[in-house]
Amino acid sequence: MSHPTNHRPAGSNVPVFDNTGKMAAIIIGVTAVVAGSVMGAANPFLSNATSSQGAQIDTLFSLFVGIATAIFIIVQGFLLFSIVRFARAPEDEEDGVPLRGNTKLEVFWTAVPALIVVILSVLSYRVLADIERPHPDQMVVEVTGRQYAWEFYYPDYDLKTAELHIPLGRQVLLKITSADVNHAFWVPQMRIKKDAVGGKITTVNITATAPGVYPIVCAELCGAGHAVMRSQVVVEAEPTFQIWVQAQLGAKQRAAAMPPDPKTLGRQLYNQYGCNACHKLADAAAVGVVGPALDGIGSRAADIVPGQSAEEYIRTAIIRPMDFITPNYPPVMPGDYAQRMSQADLEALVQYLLEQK
Amino acid sequence: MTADTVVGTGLVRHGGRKFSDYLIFNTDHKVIGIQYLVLAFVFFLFGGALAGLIRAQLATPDAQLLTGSSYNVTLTLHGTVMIFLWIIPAFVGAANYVVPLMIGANDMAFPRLNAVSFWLLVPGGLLMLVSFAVGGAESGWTAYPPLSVTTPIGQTLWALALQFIGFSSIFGAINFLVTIFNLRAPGMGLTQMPLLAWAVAATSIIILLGTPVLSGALLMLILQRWLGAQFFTPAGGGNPLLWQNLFWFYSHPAVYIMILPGFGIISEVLPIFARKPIFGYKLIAFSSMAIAVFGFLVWAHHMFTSGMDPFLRVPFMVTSMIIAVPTGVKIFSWLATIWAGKLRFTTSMMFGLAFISMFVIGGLSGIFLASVPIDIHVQDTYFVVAHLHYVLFGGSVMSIFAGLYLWFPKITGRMLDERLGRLHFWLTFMGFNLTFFPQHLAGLQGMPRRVYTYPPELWALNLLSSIGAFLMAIAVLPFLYNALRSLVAGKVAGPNPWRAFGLEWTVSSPPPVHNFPTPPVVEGDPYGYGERPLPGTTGVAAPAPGMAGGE
Amino acid sequence: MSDTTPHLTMQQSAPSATGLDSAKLGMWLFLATEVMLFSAMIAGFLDMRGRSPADAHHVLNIPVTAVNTFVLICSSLTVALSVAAIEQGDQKRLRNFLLLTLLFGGTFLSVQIYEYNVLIGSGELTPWNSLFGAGFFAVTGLHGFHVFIGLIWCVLTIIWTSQGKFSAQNFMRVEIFGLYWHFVDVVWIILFVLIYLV
Repeated sequence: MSHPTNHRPAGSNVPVFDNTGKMAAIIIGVTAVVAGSVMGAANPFLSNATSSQGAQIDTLFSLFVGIATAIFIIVQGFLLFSIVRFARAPEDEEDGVPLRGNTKLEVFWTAVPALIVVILSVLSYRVLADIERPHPDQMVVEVTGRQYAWEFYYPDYDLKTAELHIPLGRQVLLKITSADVNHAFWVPQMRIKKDAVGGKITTVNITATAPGVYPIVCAELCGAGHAVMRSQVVVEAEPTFQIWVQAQLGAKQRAAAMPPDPKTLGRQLYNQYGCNACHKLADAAAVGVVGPALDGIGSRAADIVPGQSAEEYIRTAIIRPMDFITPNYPPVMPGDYAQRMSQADLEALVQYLLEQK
Repeated sequence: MTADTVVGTGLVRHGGRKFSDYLIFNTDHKVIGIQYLVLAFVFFLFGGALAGLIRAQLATPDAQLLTGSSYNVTLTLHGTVMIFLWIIPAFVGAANYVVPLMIGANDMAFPRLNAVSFWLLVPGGLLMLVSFAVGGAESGWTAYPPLSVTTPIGQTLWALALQFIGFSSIFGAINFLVTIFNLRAPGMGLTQMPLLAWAVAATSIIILLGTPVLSGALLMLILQRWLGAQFFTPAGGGNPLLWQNLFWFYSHPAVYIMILPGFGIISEVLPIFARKPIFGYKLIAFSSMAIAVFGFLVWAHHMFTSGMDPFLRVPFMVTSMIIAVPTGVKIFSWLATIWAGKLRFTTSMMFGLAFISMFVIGGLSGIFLASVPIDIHVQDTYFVVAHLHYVLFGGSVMSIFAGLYLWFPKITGRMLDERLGRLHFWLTFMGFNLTFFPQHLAGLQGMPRRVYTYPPELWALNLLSSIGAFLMAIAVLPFLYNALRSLVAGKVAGPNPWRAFGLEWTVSSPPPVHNFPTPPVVEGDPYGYGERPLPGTTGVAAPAPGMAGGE
Repeated sequence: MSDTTPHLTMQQSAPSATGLDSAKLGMWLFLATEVMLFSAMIAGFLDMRGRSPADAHHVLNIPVTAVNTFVLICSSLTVALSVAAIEQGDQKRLRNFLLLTLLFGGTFLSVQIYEYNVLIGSGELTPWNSLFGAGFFAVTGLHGFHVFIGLIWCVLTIIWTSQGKFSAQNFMRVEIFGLYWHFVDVVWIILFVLIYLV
């Protein structure tokens, strides 16, 4: 066996696109269309969204899934077909067909994707405009992210809470900001996300379409407790929501009129200021692991720093956390609690922690 | 042979003949290329170990291996090292070695500056390691302020390290551009250049115009951390989004810095092993340049949910989608290149084909991310993590390996073992998909990125990812063994083991110190398969790989 | 010369495929990078100034800086003259004009340092007490650093001149230094207009 040349004379008429190739192209094309339609219609990747904005995003997402599936199958199909069909036979030292281009084909595969992305852009724009259109009957909730907790304020009711309650079917405008570093407010089941940036108010609309409790997740890296910066949104029918609002207002009034028992207040402060995100404390149902656990801190505090009483130690540890870092824990606790907390809250929290024996 | 001698004394030398030549300030582009590649590979192993830590922590929903803080340090360093100390320098190293040979130049345009570029990378890498030792940066590779302002000293060292790496990149880019435009052998017009040279030129333009913007942002960050200038902190009236704008003005184009050379390598690998000319040369070259230009017009798509001007999201969405077009053109051109070829499934070719297959997935998920409404849901989730790894591992790293298997014989004069190569390939390919495909789903179902713990319902997907990562870690072993063993015991390669066109294959393996003892003759572009005989073979089939013998 | 590398150095530029001198092309590309660097810093400055209370720049001493700007423009002129001198092979004039450049550039930098001293010493403007200050010191400081590098480069060029390294046929290094110096001056004129006048 000899191979006198490893190249073909230019212009030799070898069929590049023979019947097998044509058949493969047809099969790949048909499969792409069928699979694209099926995947687009079924969209197995997402469960149903629970907000009207999310439902629109999901419809768009399904269309993208369909088109992506079709393109995926076309590319992988031609790739696999070529691998099987054009594998070199053993001993075959010849070169392939010297094809350097085909203007029509190149124009085709530049123009068609261009057309597809333009269509996708237009459709995306329409969904975007739709989901951001304000409804005249909006309810406003102000959302503040801070390391590592969310805080919600209802200006209509002058009410501040640690979890978000919204009425079913009514559009809620969230005005989001941050008290410290960047966060992002995300409700995966509602497909709603917006960054919380200090010194800036960002907005997002939600219209809940299914009652239930859905997690709120922080999606922007915000420090050691980022992963545990979670809350939840409770969607309930308008009357139930109103009952909840009244109950909260009543509790607030009672709290103002009659100081709550120190333990309840302490638990509430522990969670309100986000201590729970990092410090485990069974009494407050807190499970954070970033910082040292505070179970039994009241009986240990006096022995930690020589010369500091238990009370002094706990107070200092809250307002000047860098003064003494518990060994093996990262120095990441925010240092601004002195500004963030009222004197009364601080003392109440110190007393509460002192009682943790 | 005066042309083939190592010259220079002391710690400054030109040419590499013994081991110590590779440890000093050496002005030979081939030595520098190897220096880059080896250093980058060491960092690849380091970054991979960090990835292993991440996947070990995430193998179960609430593992205690890492704390929130040390987890953040790990992911920050993983991202920074893989991008700035592995992918980018690995491409620079490969291009440093082969581009001058491919265009018939005796060296880079500025050999001493070339060595300076490499030696700037070393303190950059060291500073990065020191930052790790003193606590590390923990605000992600994107280092968004205000978080990156409040974190400990490691963040400052991180920023300084990136400044060094940035200078290294910029000097490298200047060198490549001048080399490619000025040092081409007589007869090599711009359209006879190998497509890798086009890709490196496009990459260099991006580096030249993008990197200084990152340098500026880092300078402001350092001034804020050192002097208390309030650029980025809202408490002092500053603007956190200023950082995001400047950072992404560099860092989105930087994605193309990390993929365009890969496109170039694939455009070399496929014709050689399909025995066909590249299909649509001009459109591929043009699309590289189009990507370089459009790459600068899409940065804000990383900020769709950040509270940027709502109206501006729309033009940025359109440009981000349009950039899919030149990318698609390349993929279709590569498919047409292998069509009706005579495919040889060497390890290099397998990595090359896998590149097409994997990069398409990353490209398609990129279109999802470009659409503002979809991005609202998936931004900052594991969907993004999956997307960027399909692009940067499925794309960039696959192409780096395709290039390594292609040029290892040229660089060392020895063949790599193909059986070990196939093992490396299949472990990598399977491990990669197992690691990253489930992450799309985890993200869609509610898993944000950069978390050290997650709800138990996401456990199955994360466990799959962690098993995949374990496979990928094992995959490195056959490669390492193969490379080290082949260095001493591999089959002798001869000048042209793949029977390839291209000037780099007309010189001995490894090439002489000054590359071309006699000026090279350019007969056309390096894709003449099936059109003209291989140079030096005068119409007679070249001997099978490995039979060519030494010099 | 046997112990130095026999490959191409700046003086012995390779035959160039584009006809452009490699070293000069490299310098132009470097300046493109510098344009982007200063653009980023100016963008940062403008953003900071937009967030500062109005008229934060009233604390700046505009007449002194105007004179200083003139000094820097003079240094550009002397650099241009030094290139013209060596084009005619006049090494002595080259050296003298470079010395003048050094003098003008040094004066500029000294005045800038004096200005910093006054502003920070009096506490009227510091990098940490206002956003305008942050932007001002960042961008003018970066420029000052460029002048400083230029001065070192100028000293080196003077040393090379006195070693007789330049002639009417071989003065690319002078030209390249000149390119850098002119660039730094142009940047300053832009900064002066943006920061002090607007």
